[in-house]
Amino acid sequence: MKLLKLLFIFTLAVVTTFLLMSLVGTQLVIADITSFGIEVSLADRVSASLHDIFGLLPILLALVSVAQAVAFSLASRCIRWFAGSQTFWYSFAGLCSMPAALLLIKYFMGITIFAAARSSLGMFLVSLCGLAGGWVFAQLMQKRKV
Amino acid sequence: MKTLTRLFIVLLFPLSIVNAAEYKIETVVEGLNYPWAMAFLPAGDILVTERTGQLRRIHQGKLLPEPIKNLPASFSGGQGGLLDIILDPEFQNNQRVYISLVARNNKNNTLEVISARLGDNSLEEIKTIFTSTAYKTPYHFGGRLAFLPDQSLLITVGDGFDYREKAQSLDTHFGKLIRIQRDGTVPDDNPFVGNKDALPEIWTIGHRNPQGLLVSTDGTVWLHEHGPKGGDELNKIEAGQNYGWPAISYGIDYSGAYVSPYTRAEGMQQPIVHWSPSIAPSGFCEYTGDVFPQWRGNLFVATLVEKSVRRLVMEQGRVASQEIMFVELEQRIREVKAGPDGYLYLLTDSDSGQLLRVLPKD
Repeated sequence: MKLLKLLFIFTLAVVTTFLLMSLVGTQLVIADITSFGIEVSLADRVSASLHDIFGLLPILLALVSVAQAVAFSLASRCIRWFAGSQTFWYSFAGLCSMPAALLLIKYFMGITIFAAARSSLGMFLVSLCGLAGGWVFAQLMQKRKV
Repeated sequence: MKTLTRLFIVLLFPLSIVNAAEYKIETVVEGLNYPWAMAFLPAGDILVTERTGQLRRIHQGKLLPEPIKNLPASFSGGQGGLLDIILDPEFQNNQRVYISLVARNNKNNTLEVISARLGDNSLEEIKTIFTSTAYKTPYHFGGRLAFLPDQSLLITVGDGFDYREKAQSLDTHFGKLIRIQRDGTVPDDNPFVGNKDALPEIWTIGHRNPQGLLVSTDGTVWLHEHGPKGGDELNKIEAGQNYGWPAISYGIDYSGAYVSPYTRAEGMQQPIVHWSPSIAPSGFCEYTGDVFPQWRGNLFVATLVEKSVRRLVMEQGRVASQEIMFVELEQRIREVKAGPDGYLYLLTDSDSGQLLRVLPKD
């Protein structure tokens, strides 16, 4: 039962990160499109956002799941070893999770697989998306006392 | 799954998968290490570039064991390495060749084009005539070369993968078609000469990874380029035009997200044909020989992912129909060229690559 609860909380955290990353990714790509002098309507922004949520689902959701599973596992060890609040450690782990995963992939493959993370601003926003996932994970862990 | 994909393509496009009834294929040489391009010498020898950094010579149907000497070192990581080779339009008089390669500039990589005189088994009088904007990437170098009828040289440069937006900016070489003279100087009539915000050698912009470049016998410039996931394109090139990448695309990112939600935009050129799913077009030629009269005037596109050659039947600057050829080889085809003997030549893309000759069955 405890494991199921943990899995549920983890899923919510991962989905939070995934949805935020997807939305950030779409808006950054659209910002590039507008910089070329093409006007993008609100309707096109919304439909592009929905397209990307479904389009990114197989790859990005898997990537976030793996990255945050590793990050939250390390955070739980840190809570035991160094004390400190769960909110801090899980949020910090979330913050680091996506840049670490993307930079690792870039190191081995030579490319950035999530286009929005190619710029410093994009990487910063992606880190915040991970932080949000970590924060959700910490809050639910405390609330559900897992 | 492959069969289903082909069936889908056949239903959607005026295209057919051709059988081997009209030709046979023979191996000229094998044991080439990722061959990338070839050039036919007037005396009958063939030069072949290997992406891993060697320039090889085929003499009387045999691959000479010693690579051609004095070739500058190239960076052969990822898609980089020794790329294209073409002969000077006045090769008979000056024995000069032009070679594109990926060179390393400190930590960054850059596409370079060198000009050299071909000696007995070495390159002499080597001169670098073009160096692209340096960047740290192992992918998307472009690197195809072709001469215009006025003997100026066209060079394709890729977008460097992680730098795709720069294909729309005029101050870098990323994602551009470049035009220079044989000595590396910029022609006065290039479209952006006089624009202080632009590099004067730029001829067209908005390309992703162009690995097919052809000036056909009627003087038309054709360029094909790899799209991302889908959206490979055949473009008819006109100086000064914008071919759209990444502002418009018929493909999506490998991640599954949009590169752009748009496929058209004002001021940006549409492809003559786009291929989705991707076929990964690489080499390119026009058939002008007499051995296959039914192919005369057709364009041939080598493909890596589809493992085929596409024969494009052209009518008034449009692709009237397409045939998928040589799928029976089950090989990635890097390059296709019409030889001076009228046969079609193919290079297969592997560490044990082959030079193949296509000739009539009878």
